Amino acid sequence: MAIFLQAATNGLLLGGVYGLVSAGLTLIFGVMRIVNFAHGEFLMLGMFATYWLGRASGLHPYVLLVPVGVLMFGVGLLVQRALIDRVLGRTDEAQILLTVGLSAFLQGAALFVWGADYRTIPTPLASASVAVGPVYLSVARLVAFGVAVVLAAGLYVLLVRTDLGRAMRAAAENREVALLLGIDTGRIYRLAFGIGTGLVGVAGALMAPVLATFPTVGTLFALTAFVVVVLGGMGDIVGAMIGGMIIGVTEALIATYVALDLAPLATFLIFLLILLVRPQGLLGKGRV
Amino acid sequence: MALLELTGLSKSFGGVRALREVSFSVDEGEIVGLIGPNGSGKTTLVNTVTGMERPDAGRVRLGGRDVTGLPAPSAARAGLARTFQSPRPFLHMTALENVAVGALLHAPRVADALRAAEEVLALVGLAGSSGLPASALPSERRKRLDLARALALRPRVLFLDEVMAGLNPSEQADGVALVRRLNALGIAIVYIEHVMKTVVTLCPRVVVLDHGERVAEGPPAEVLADPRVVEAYLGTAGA
Amino acid sequence: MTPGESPPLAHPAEGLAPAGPRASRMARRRGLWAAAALAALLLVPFWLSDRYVMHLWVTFYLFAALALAWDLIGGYAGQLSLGHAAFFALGAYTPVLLLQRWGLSPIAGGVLGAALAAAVAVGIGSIVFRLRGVFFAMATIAFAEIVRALLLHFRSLTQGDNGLAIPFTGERPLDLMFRSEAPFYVIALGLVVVTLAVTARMRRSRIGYYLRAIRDDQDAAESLGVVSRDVKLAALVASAALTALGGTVYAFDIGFINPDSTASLGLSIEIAIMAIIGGVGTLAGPIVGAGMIVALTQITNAALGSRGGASTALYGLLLMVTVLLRPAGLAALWSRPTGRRGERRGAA
Repeated sequence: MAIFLQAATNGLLLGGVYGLVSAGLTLIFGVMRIVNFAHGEFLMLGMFATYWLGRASGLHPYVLLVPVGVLMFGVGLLVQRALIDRVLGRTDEAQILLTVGLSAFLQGAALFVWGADYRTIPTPLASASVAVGPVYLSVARLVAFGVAVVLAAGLYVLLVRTDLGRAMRAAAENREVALLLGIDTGRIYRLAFGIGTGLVGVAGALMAPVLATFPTVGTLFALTAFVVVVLGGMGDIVGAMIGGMIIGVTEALIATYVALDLAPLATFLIFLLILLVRPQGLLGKGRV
Repeated sequence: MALLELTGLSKSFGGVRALREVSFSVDEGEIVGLIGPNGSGKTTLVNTVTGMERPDAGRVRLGGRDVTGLPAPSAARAGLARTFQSPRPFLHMTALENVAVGALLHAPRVADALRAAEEVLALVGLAGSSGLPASALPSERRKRLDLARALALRPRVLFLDEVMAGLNPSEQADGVALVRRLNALGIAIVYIEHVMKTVVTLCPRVVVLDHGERVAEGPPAEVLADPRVVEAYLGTAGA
Repeated sequence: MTPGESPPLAHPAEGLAPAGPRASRMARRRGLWAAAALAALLLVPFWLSDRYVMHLWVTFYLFAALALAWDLIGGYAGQLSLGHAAFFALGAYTPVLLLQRWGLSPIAGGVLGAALAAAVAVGIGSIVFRLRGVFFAMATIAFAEIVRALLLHFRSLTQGDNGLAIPFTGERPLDLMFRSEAPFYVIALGLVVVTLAVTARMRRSRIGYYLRAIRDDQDAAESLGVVSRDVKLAALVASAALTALGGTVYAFDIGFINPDSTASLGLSIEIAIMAIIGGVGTLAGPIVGAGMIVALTQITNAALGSRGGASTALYGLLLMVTVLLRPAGLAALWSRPTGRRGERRGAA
């Protein structure tokens, strides 16, 4: 029982971060109908940014959450302006290939510039944990989970309660109508892509004390995020958080009780099943 | 016995009832006009009979055989062919290759299909365009190409979905002559059209749809005088 | 895809249909040229003594064959697979395991690997062909990741991420073990020829016509009696089997395989990229694309040292440029004009 609780808790905590990564991806999909295959590379960039800023300034990764988030928000704006905007309205294939190309470019460039080494940020947090009953909670993972949930909740409030959020949802619903209502969809798209990228950047900063940083670290996160987004319903923020936790717990339990290396297998089998049975997602209604 | 027989055909999309228990039949060698205002369900009827959509209820019989809800390729094999309201040629294939795709249904080898496709292209007056990519054809010739593809299937019943729209009077006259020629080959035709002049010229009998319902049937002169038909068209740009 | 819209990667509308005796004369002349070129290429190993350079040629041929095989489903059928590494891995692991366990010649093992890949293609195809666009691409990625996870997991069979080495036990042609690289040169060139032949034949066959029709407008094709799922499945099966043969050649040429080198998403993407930047739906495109990627890797390695990443970054860049500026692929730069260029650009 203690083992089960421990595994489930670990999975839940990591699942929160999956949720945050997926929230960014699903926001971008919901608003712009673009699946960003370079999303994982933005996570990687967030981790490297945290690493290098930390090295340069000596600041704790958690202090860097905000600057890294802002930096990645800016990267998102740029990428949307320079690249994504040019394939909006083109076929799925063109959009997939553009972001696949971006993914290869960023991964290759990171490998070239920073090398393939695994880099870790030594903080006392990495090994600190607190005991809750029979379960040990890693402090770093607990913080990551907490920040992820707060940010996702913030994004949800932004979408539901603010004018900007309403404009985003209108643009997501129907571009033409949004334009008629006087909504600047270009600006909405830039913001959506920027926010989605900023969120995954923060997720990177949260993961930097927990995981090693290396150029291909984003791949598995990105693939997991696809699964989560499809599970939670494309464009559904709450669905992404819940889906992230479901996948996190499933992976942890399979890793504990079946085999460590079969965890991704389970994730992808779930994925194929959902795509076949309910492509609109298990949880969501399929919108922002 | 009727060649094509629709009984109680119904189809809804969400809450919209696009077809409500439509019944009519087409005899061997007949040209039946199918008219009605925009959105009255004409194209849905074509889609439902030729397999692009599955009917919610009702029966379709072709030559006595039940072909209800057959998927599109099987419907084509059974002898049902259609053109598209706005032509949908394979843009990156030549005119000849476009038609060969249809001709392959009955041809044992590609070479046979290409030969058959040449003949069909000549029949519709596109012999000179056979080597051009479909994307290079102007819209009037794209319509002929759409028709040629369907003909290459050697259909028993051919649905022509607004083939005259956008054609000038002399092109329309050519079109009418072409439809007559096809009919003379023994192909039964369901002729969907807004250009009433051609309907009156071509169709001894017309069926009128309104809001997915068959509201009238009979010789064009009679039907067009029917108050229900007049009402259906009132305020619409159709007639 | 809605009608009238240009496909994502525009295809040249070459008239494939032969047109009279002039065409058949041209075809015969082209056949002669091809035979002469092939003979010349076969002579290369005789004056090429440098093993490394010869290995480069093998790599080029291998990638060319893989890109051509991918094009069957990715280009002609327009189904953007990002999971082809799975078939490659099946073709690599099957003969190696059969050789190590039962001493089966990899010539037979390669054929069995191709058969296995074909069978798997039938299974996975009947699932993924129900999906379109992004979902299709994602499902193919998931499929390949499943294969990779299985290869990693069943260590007793595959040695997990340690991989399988094929120890050299002397010159044994039946086991595809050669002291010289020259036999692999011939084998890899042979694979290109076979793949080209399959592709060329398919283009002129019923399936070729159907595939191009489906890619342009699936609904219209179905209304003409084309059972699109079966046609796509046929293309996938051929593509998977040829890709698996590539895996076999790779395994015995290199002498070592592991899940990362044979079943990774990176490899799937690389294969697709080669066909796309060269130009899908043409015979020359995937070959040109493979040549460009192999040359690019060499040049960047020479210029920037063996530090990895530069070539990956460059081909990512190349892919973006292709998508944004030249959807017909870079090979279209020197393909003869078909009178459609303007339209293609207009559609971009």
